[in-house]
Amino acid sequence: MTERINPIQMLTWNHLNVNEAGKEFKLAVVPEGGFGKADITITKEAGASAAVTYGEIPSVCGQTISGVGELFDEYVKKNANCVYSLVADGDDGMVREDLRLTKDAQAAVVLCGIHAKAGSKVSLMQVLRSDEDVEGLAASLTQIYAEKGSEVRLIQVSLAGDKSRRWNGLAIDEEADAHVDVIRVELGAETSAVGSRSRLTGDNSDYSIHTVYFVDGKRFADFNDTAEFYGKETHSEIHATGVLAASAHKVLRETVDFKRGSVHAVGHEGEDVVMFGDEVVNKTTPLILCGEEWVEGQHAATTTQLDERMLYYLESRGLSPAEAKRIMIDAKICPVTDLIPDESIRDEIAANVGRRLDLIDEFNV
Amino acid sequence: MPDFEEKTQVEEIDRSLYDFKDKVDADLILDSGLTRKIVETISEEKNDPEWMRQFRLKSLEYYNSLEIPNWGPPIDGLDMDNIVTYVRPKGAMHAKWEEVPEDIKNTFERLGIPQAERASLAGVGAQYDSEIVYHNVKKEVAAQGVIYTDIESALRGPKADLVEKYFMKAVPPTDHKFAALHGAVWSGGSFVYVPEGVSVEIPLQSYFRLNAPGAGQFEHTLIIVEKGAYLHFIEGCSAPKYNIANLHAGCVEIFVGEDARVRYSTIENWSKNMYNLNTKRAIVEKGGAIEWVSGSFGSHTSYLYPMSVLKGDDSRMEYTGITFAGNGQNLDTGAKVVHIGKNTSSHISTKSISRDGGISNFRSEVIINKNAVDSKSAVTCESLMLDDQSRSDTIPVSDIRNSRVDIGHEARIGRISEEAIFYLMSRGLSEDDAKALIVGGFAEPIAKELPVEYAVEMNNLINLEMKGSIG
Repeated sequence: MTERINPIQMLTWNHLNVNEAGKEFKLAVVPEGGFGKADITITKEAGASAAVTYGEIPSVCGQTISGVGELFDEYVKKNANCVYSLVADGDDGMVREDLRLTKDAQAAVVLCGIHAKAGSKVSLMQVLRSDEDVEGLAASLTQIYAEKGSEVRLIQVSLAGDKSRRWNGLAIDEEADAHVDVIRVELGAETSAVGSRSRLTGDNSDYSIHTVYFVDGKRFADFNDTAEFYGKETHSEIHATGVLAASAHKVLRETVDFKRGSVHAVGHEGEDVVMFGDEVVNKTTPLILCGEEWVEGQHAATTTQLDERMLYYLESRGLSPAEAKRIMIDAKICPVTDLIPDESIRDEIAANVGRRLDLIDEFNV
Repeated sequence: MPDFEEKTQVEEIDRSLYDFKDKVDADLILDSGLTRKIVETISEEKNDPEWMRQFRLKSLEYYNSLEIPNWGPPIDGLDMDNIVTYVRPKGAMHAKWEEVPEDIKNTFERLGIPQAERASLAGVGAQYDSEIVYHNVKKEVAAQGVIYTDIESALRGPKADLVEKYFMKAVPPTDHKFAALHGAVWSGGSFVYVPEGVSVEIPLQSYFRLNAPGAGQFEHTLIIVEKGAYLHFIEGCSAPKYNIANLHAGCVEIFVGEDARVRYSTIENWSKNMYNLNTKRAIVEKGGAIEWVSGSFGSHTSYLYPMSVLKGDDSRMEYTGITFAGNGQNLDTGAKVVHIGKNTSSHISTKSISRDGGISNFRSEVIINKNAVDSKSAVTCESLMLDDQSRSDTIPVSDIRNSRVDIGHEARIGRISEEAIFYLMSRGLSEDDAKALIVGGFAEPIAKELPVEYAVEMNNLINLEMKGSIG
């Protein structure tokens, strides 16, 4: 068993410190007697047809190890203080998981299984919040099994306070013609280790994950997303858009891994980062691993400043420098956050981003 | 849509142009393995100054303490106990081809080195096993103050102080295990000094030939180009194929002065039993430029990532490389750059081709330091897979420490476009010719960076690799 958090799919030079997440992401020691009770609410919105079961995970889930790694997966399975599953056998409908870290429930270790049966549709939105000043920890592992022709939509929003620690693992298996779409917004937590792995075993299966992150202050974020292509004509999109400021430290690994036989598979990955401040550490490692000739793999990444010509134009139209910059940041992240169907969550994200931007000195110049 | 079951057929290719063996007729062959006694013997044989003797012994200590890399292609087949670190060919170094021993001269003639010298080079160094056997530079170039000699002569010549000042300062022996090995047993190689303001209009070339089976070649190339000067240096290498492992752990150090420019071109064609664990690094001062052009065709296993340290403001680097991995080859190549000065720029552009079970890895490292404001970097990497028995992996890393930068990275992997093949076939080409033409076009951006004679050699190598490999 690998004891690494967010392990890279192929090792590279050790001095770069990207082969795994650093010591900041070491799993929390389990207190004697376990983590106690989590403050978590699972609700089904009107029309949601998926069956929610507590205390067990469908046996088909968890065939794949999450992007955070085997050590983490075993940790959650062993120490979870909330286990629940969704089994979808019909049409759509949103299920919500609201998790809060409070003084009385500082730790949440959540194991969630989603079993989408053939032809079904299911949506789950997981929102993490924490009370101010709570030094909490949230470790979530979501295991998805998408049967033939099913559609799974997962929305993950972290609004955890800056004193919390977070681990968020996602493990996905997809049969033929299955589609899994993930929207992930990571705005909070002192340390966030986030990793997904999707095994596209079925022909024509599809996986997309769009991440928005904002890392500022002295926070650490470590991402590790992988799509493994086994089936023919499989497809994956892995994209991240982020803002880094102050003394933020971010590592992002994206991997498309074409296994032999994944003919006509297509995998794209990309990252678009804006940095503020000269204490930021921004590491990006986009891997394309290829053992099959009939594939298309592409990666594109940019790290830039805000376009000065665009800023000048917006200011010439009467906007203040801060307003102009805000619009340009919104233009980067809103295409992803606008896909979240809950307006109040979108507003909460916008307010969180606005509050963080206000703290950046150069943003207000 | 093409049939998924249609597969590439690959045949053994003819490498006789490079794969000919001379009878090993050396003056001195040390025992295989790596011990303090062997390092001391090499130092004694080469009549090292004391500082170099101590340097070798310290490097041996580093070698013994450093780990084998855990991240690259496997090198289990390389057993240092079976590698001979020093083979001295018969005869001293010569400045005339006529004086070079007949069999060695014949080898270089078959490789076209004397002809190239006459036609298109300002100077040539030729190394056979562990020692330089021929070194010459045109009088008019020497008259400009350019020094081009074997590094052992330089150690005792008028620029000995420069050698001591710069030797293994860009690549310290603590850098990695094989840099330490190099520091302990290095032998042969070239020293180039280009004075301030001098532009060497036609290239210099060093050619390295490893003939002895089970031997290692550890040549050291030290290039110092002063302020405002220009140099194009070409490196070529080849060896016959044996059934036992050979090792190449050379080292290239280039110091590019203010506003100077150096172009370093390599056509690497080691035999396919060679472990090519080579280290190349340039330190670039203010306004200077380093341009790497690299073609990797041979060797069993390669670790090769020329590194540029953009120390001065406004300095820049370009890396243009192609890697062609065939049957039994695992070629791990790429480039590294560290931006230290302000307004520095780097551009890494690579192509790789994998066929017949070959493995080609592209690996890169772009580091932008905190003070390297207004720097720019672009990395582009294209990989072509010619069959489903091969592998091609892309492992780039960027580490950015300031916000006033523009960094871009693009990578693409795929196979030859069926539409392009169909079009060419509709114009009368056979399928094989169409594919060869497309692969040639894929490599063309690299070829155009080379002098025409070397571009021709590179195209010949591609044709050699492609011959019988597609269908």
